[in-house]
Amino acid sequence: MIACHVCHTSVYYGTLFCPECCARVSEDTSSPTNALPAGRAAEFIPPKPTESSHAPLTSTDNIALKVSGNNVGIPLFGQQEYILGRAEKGQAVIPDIDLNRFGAHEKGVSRLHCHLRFEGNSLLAIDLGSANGTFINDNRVLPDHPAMLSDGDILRLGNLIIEVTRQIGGQ
Amino acid sequence: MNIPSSGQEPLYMEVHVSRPVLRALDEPQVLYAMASIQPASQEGEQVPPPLNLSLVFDRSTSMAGERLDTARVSAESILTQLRPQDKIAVVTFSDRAEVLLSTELTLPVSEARQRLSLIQASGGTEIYQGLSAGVNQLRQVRHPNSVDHVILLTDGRTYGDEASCLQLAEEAAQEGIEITAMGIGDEWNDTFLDSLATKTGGQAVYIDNIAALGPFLQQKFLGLGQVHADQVVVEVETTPGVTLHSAFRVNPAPMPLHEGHMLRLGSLFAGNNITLLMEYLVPPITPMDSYEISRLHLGAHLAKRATNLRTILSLSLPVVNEPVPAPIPGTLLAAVRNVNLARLQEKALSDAQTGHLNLATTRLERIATRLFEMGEPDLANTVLGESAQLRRTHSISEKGKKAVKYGTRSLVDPKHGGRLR
Repeated sequence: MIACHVCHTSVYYGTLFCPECCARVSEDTSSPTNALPAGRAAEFIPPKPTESSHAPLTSTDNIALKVSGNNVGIPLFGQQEYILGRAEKGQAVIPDIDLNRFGAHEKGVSRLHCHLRFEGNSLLAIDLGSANGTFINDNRVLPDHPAMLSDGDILRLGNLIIEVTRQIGGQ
Repeated sequence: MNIPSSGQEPLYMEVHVSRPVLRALDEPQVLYAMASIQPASQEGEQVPPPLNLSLVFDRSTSMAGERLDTARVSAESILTQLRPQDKIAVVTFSDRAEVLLSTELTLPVSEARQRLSLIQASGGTEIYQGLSAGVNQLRQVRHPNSVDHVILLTDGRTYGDEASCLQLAEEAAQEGIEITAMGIGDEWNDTFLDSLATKTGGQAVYIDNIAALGPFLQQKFLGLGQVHADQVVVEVETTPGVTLHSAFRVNPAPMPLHEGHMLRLGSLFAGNNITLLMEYLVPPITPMDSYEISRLHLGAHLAKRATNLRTILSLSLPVVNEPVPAPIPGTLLAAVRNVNLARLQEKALSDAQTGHLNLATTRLERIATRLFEMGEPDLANTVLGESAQLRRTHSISEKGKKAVKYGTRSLVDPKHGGRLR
């Protein structure tokens, strides 16, 4: 049995959502996703969606991810898709971009947290059922609803803040 | 992970599972499987199957006025669209049933309309009377290539004959007759109509606003005239020790499925698919190359071909010692999350009915929290409002109960959620 990180109900291994509070259950007992504090319902009211004032990113752009507090940009180059998360020992599927060096565990990033994918000419973000959620400009991205990314968007994985930017003149 | 059935059949079933492997454990583990049933390929031009439709309208006193008028106008509209191969019956009921239009007698539209204009509201609600007459109308004209469907419309509770209705629904299902059960307003018994519809693979619909009735009936009529297959059923045969913990039809018309291993899924409409979410509990197991969790026996009536289909798909996975994390398909994850919310809501409403108020309000507030997270503030506020009322008055209103139940269910499939406003 594993415990729900929010309400501590014991659930069977393999359970995806807690039957008692509907929180995403992390079955990763060796390196569980850090639960971020959950307050009362009203605190979850999402901000009204705001239209991004920036231009959508395209597959021909030189795109980089800049993690807050770091000057280094992680280029998105040479692949059609990237999984963002935390690489842990013995993990069969390793994320393409390992965020451990940015304090991902403390900031509530799941091992397989978010999927970035070029589709058509757009860059899309898809949450992989992470425990603490994926957000674009503070609007939650749901697992079944890919969201388009634009230049300057703030991608938040749990509490890890990443700016998605277009690089001018190469990387 | 995707397990397709053999591609030669007119229907195609593919199954996505929540994990690519099972884990060798000395305790039980959960596996989710989402089965999608769809037409295998282009069927080519075929004559649409004949539709035998039985409209069964409650004409008890409470239906007087706009409710009955709208039902009558909706029926008239369908009358004018019948194809030569279709047959329709219109049955009204209160304490007894009257067959206004019979499937055995085709009347000119003007005469049929005139008969419908005679409907008067009076008396109580005895659903068995109407349902029985409606089902009998279909029994008289059933044919191997017909699609047979009852649409029941009521705004009240039936007393004393619920068991007979459920027995009749069971018999109807075995004869290939599907029931759509529609409740208008707030006084009808949602648990009963859910059971009635689920037994036949049909759908229970909450009509919050009577204006939604006409468009719904129209859409249903057009869909039934073009079904790719009906009487779609999945019989789940589990390996000894494996339990089918729950099953839920995700699409179309999300509904918890009747307990047991025979899952009646209703009709597969042209251009759509049927999606079914199953939760298995697998017993303690040791490593092996392949472990068969269950066999899914897919059955369906292919009205266009006047044949019945049966095919089997084996759901087997390797069992390994170490976990193999892998991305879970977004549609499966969203379905599990939404079905989980729908189930938690059922538990909360049941708690409220049995007097476990603290547990009910805690569960409702947890649901609201998740709804806010998911960007559903209106429904979240409805749920919070019902929770507050429960604390204050120690009871939950019929309207609130239905708003929470069918609103949460709507999240599973927003297009066919079962609440019409």
